[in-house]
Amino acid sequence: MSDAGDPALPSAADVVVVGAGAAGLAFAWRVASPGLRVVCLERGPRVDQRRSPSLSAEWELALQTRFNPNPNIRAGPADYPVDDSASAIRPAFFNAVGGSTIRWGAHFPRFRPSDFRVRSLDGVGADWPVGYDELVPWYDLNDRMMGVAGLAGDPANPPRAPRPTGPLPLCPATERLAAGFDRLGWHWWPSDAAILSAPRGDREGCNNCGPCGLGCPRHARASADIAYLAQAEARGVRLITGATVTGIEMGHGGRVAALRWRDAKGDAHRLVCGEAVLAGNGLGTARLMLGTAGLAHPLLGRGLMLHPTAIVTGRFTEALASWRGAFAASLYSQEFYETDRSRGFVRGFQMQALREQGPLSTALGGYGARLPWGPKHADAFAAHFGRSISLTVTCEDLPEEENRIALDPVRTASDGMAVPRMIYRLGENSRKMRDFGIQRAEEALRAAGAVDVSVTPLARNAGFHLMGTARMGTDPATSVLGCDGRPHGVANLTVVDGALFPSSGAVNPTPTLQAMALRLADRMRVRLGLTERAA
Amino acid sequence: MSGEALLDALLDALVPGDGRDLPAAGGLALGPRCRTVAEMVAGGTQALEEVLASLPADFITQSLEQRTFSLQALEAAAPDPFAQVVMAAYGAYYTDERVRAVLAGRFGYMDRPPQPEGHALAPFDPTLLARVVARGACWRPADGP
Repeated sequence: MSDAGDPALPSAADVVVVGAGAAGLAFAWRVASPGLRVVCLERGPRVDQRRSPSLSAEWELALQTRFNPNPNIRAGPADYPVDDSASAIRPAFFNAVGGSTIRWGAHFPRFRPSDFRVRSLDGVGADWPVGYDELVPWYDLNDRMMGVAGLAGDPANPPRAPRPTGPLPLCPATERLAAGFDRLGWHWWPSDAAILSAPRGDREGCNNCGPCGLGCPRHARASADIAYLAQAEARGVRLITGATVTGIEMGHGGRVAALRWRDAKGDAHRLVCGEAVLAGNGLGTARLMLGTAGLAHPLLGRGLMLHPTAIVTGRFTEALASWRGAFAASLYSQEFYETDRSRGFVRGFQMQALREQGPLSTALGGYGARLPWGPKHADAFAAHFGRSISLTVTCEDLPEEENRIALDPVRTASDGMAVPRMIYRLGENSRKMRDFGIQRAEEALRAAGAVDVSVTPLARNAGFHLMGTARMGTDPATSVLGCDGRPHGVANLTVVDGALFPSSGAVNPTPTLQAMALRLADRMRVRLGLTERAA
Repeated sequence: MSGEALLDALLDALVPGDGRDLPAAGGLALGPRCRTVAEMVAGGTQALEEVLASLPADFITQSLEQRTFSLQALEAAAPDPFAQVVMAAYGAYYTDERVRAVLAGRFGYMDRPPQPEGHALAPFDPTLLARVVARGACWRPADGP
């Protein structure tokens, strides 16, 4: 249900946040203050996770249809089409309050210190204007807000505070994987997961059901709405759903004057704002900025980074019931995360275990290859179902200018804006890394006891981490945004989502983009003369 | 030749069962269900109609081997619509309660939605980490090397 039919819609606000996803809600909560008018405009609806499709016999169909991560397939009322005809990887994001955290697996890793210094350390990409140590207080704050299960002490990462709840358990399949890594002498660790393993506040603990991507009726699995929305509204944040921002109106002196938006009925509105904050993900934010003449920059939209991902699936002879447990948050290996030039590429990758979800997901292959149809189908299904486990090879991507978000010069979406084009090819460094990683994942699965291994070299539907399309930096010639997330020369517009990433790391970017959003909110508070908050 | 008979023949060719306990999709009369699933995604109905219209005139009377060959050619010519039809066929099949009952009996799979019951959540066993911990810290500091 849309909130945009409310006759008392605001015509002015001190801070307007565009997008109520992982970054937008974290930012809105953090910046809010008594007397500060904070409005959050979200094109999608609120999602009642207490009524998740995981309670229904139709749950697997929901994963493929209205919860499909690809907006072109889902094609819901809040979605806009993305032209991905020139992209090796298809877009994957969700338009709703909570954003893509409604649809995610809740794997919750941090970037490593080197991820912020790729230019200095390895001569590629760009350094961040902020380092890991500086971000730690906001990482910790976000962990507490989201509610994390995990275990401090991972030797592949800097020491960190105890996790709010203990780690989720392994299962027979992931125990085999762990043993395989041990046999090879490789690193592994239980995932940090934005999933509570025990009750906390008004949220229940995880009951190991599996399909986290359908929303969690227990609220054990965090999403931005569960973690931040109620507290943001308690601080006075006004959320308007069904509100699609269609334009940024530039005023005098390089300032944003107002945002233009449409409600669910298509009626146009104008919202005068003191500060505008963009949190529509690396694609949506770039789309909005590219449509604004006053924000032109040669690098805007360019340098799109995804996480090119191979899926390597091992099949075991034993029945492992590998559909039990959080599908994407069990364990990972960062054995090959850092640069070793003898491998023929720079930077590295993470291997992350993926469980099965259910019969239909198994038949369709999840993010990997679909099982064959026809006479071989039943045997293939019987061989795999409950007996397979996958490793992702999640590659750090480098910013290449030809990989980009652009606007279609002709096609207009139903929201009145140009259809965005996603243009992406796999770079040479990523290709070499991916190929090397596939071999290592095969090795790990064999060491775990898999009797055969199948490879999906590139998961086409895995365009869920959209980064770098308005990267931040200190030099206006090589970055779109300055250190505060504001476009160089624009005083009152801040980007707080994955668009600002100068580098991609090789892990889910959500904890990092949320930590950045919280940090940028604190910096805005200082600019606005508000009380500084301790992280 | 009725449209439903043709769709059943298509479903039988896509999911022919194993001749034992897993039934063929067409025999379950899943045609209407397949259409419903196809409607749930953008372009799904169009893809299904496109594939049905492209089948050889004698598809129903073809042997399973001939049908498979026909469909392989169709898939090679138009992979995207064909993939949508396979999704609809698998979707209709694996959410059918008769198939779910077979999966429960044969694979021990739950014959119920994942929630609210879930599965037991045992505590994590930290002794599993002994070898990893023994290796010591292995992360790279931001100041090199």
